[in-house]
Amino acid sequence: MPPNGKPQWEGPSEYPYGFRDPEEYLFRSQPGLHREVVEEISSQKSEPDWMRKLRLEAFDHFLARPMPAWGGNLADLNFNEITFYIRPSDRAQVSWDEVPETIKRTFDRLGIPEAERKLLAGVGAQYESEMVYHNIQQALEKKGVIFLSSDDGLKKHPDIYKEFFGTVVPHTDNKFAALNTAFWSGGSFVYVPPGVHVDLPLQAYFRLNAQGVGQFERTLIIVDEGASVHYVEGCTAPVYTRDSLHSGVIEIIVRRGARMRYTTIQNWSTNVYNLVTQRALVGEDAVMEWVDSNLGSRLTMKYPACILQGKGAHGEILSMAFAGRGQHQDAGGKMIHMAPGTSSKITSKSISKAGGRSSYRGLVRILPGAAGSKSKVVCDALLLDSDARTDTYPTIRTEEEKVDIGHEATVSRIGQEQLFYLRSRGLTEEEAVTMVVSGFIEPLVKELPMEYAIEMNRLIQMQMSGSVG
Amino acid sequence: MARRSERACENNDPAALKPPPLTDIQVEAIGRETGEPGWMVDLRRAAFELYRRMAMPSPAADAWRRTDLLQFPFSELNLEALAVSGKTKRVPAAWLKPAAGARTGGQLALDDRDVHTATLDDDFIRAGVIFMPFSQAVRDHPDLVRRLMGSIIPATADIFAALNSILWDAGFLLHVPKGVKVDKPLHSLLWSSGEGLRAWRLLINVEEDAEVSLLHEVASPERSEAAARLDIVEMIVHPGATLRFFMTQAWGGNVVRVAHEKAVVNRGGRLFWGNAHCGARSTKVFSTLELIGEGASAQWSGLQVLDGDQRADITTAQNHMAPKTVSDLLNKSVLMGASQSNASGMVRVEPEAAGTDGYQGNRILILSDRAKAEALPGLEILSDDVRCSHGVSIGGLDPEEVFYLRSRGIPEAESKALLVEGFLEGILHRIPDEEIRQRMHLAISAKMKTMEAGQVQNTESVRQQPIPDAEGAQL
Repeated sequence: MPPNGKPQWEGPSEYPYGFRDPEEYLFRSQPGLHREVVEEISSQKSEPDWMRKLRLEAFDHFLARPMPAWGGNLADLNFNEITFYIRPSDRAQVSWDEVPETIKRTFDRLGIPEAERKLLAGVGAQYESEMVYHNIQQALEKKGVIFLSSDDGLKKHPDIYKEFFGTVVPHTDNKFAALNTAFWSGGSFVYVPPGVHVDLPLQAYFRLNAQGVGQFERTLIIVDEGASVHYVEGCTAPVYTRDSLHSGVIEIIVRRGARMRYTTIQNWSTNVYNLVTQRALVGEDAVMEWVDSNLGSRLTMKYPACILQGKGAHGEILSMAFAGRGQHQDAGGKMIHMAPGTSSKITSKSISKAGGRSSYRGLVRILPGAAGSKSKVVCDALLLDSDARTDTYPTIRTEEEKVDIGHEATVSRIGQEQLFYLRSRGLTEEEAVTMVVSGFIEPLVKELPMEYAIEMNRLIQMQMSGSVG
Repeated sequence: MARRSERACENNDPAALKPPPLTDIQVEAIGRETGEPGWMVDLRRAAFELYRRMAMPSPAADAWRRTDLLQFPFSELNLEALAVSGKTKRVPAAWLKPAAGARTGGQLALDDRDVHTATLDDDFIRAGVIFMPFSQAVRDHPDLVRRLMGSIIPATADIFAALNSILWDAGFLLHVPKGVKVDKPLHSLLWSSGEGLRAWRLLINVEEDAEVSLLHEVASPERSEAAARLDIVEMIVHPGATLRFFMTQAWGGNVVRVAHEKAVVNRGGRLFWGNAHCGARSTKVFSTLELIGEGASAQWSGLQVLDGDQRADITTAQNHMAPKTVSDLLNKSVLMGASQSNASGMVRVEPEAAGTDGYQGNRILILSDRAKAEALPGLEILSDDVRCSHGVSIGGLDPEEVFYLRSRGIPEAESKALLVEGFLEGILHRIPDEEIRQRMHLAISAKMKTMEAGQVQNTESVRQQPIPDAEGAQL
């Protein structure tokens, strides 16, 4: 698409979630990396001693570890300007009426309780560092489904936390996992008992409001044998000149025969660094699906992973990235096959425009013993104009003979013939381009719950508006 | 991260990671030995100055972390071989047979640094074609050599390129003047004793609208002591020219190899480049296509047939730097025994390269559960008017296909061999010249024979026969 000298979508000015609330907080730590802040978080949360020690250990590990030299540009990320802990309210409310008025207004504007009424089994909402609201349908609660903020999870189920916390993503995994382990606050704890099917999705909503804030949500999900659940998270933030940092760690355990889907609609404003580690351990005959869409943020580095531990385990990743002006989406996925008969599939769709850069970075690894494993990776990239950039960096590694691995990637721009055809049917060029883009990401969008599919299409249209003349 | 540090720890051999300890005296001796002109000696000295300031690459560096080659004790290698000349060895007759039989337009065979054969059809000589040992070209065509040598791969590229620029004692120059069509395939051979550390280079310059085909072979006998070979292959395809370059590498299993190969293709130039790697214990190749003129095209075809503990780590780059350029890369590996193959490639399309078509394919056939394969096919696209894609497939033989052939009465081992043959065919058919194709096939079949005999896991049997009727080579 030639820019035609027409104004292009600038991002922030048309970002609908760019509003901000006054910054009135119960507690706000001093900015920068300080051991005292780690201690303060732990003591404010009255945590068990082992967690405090683990945080401090992770803090030391973070300091000792070099910044990653690959991926996106992290040179401008200044930890000294980041506020690592902001506590907006006392505790996670279970009744929407009790949520502080300003925060409530924010989430009302984002449509959270409304969505909940319609189709959700449970909702959690995180504002800055803390979950401000958490609720679940009573029927599920009776079946033994647990859906709590991570802080409450640790308080109410210390044994489970002691046993599983940091086992899927240890703090030594990477620099940002260490950072998260040191400063973690908020996130969800989900437990689904054996055989229980949670038919409607559980949702968490993440909001950054203050300037230069760091959000380190930590989620632990355990889906017990034969159970199933779908968890959806959405993220937004206002637009500031100072960059914010969101660095979550998501740990998921999918036990034998269970099924888990984790969906992310990431729509941070373009001043947010989004550096997330998501990983699932997948047991025998279990299924893990990551649906990951990255539309927002300045830089996203996020590679959801499935460790296929049990025989016949299946992992799937659907990754969608849209990089506009000033954005770099470095996304992808990892599949580690450790057991016989495991299978995986990664589908990546990326769109770049107006100087944006999308990169697919992925790993498929077949370890000795994982005989009969199958893996298929398909990466498609669409370039909308000549300033945009796309990269593909896959790694495929096998130490097994009886495997079937396929990887395909294509890069293309919108076909002039397609556009001509649509325009000959009376569509404007912008409508035509938007339609082609919608068709391009269709395989992903159709996997979303309907409300999100509508939202996704709306977000894409917004990204596209004004992009052509 | 963890993997990198792990690698670094593995490297506890004190001899590893140290560059070979060269002295001024040794460097001076190389030039003196061949009586080369002062400017060439100066080039070696300059490369030596550079080399002294260089360190071995870090095993954590992106280009080196997938190979075990840096753990090889380069610093302990015998450099004495360099100072010794005229050591006559017998070049096996099988290798000396002209590649395209009677159609061969010229043949150049080196026995390490010594010239064994040097022929070129009179027609081509009259047309100004130069096809001669590099050391002779240095004396006979100093202007050409000074202008082009190192212009594609300078000594500054890395420590191995610097080392090659100091040490090289064998080499070939092929120059085809403007408009000249060399309509018979040329054949060059470097037979080496397979001792110590040595370096060779090949420079091919195909002037405007000229055309040439070359089959280049390197081979050495099986020996027990460790040895290393460093290659530099520089290719320049001028506007409208066509180069067909094919290479078979059959070093003995005692050899490790570090190769830098690069071709620059100008406007409307066409390059067909194929290579078959059968030999060497560990290979690290940097192979680059640079399409710098509008409408330049290149086809790159690679084949690795590995067994025993062989490793091949091949880094390819397809750089599209001008509009309407086309690159088509297909690499196939057959892995037996406990061999390992790593193929990392990058297709890069610069903003000015509109209308580009780039393809990168990797097919890996694993015939043993001890073999390991890794593929990293990358794309970096900075222009929107492109068609770029890559594809990777890794797997063993399809049991259904084996079953089908067996149901037709073909024994299992033979069925498998047929399927492997079919797999290789996909690469071999990209070699246009029938005789060159057959010649390259010979080296491959020798290796595959062991599989037919059901000896896939057996390293030693393979090592005994690098090429048919080359027994005379066994020292």
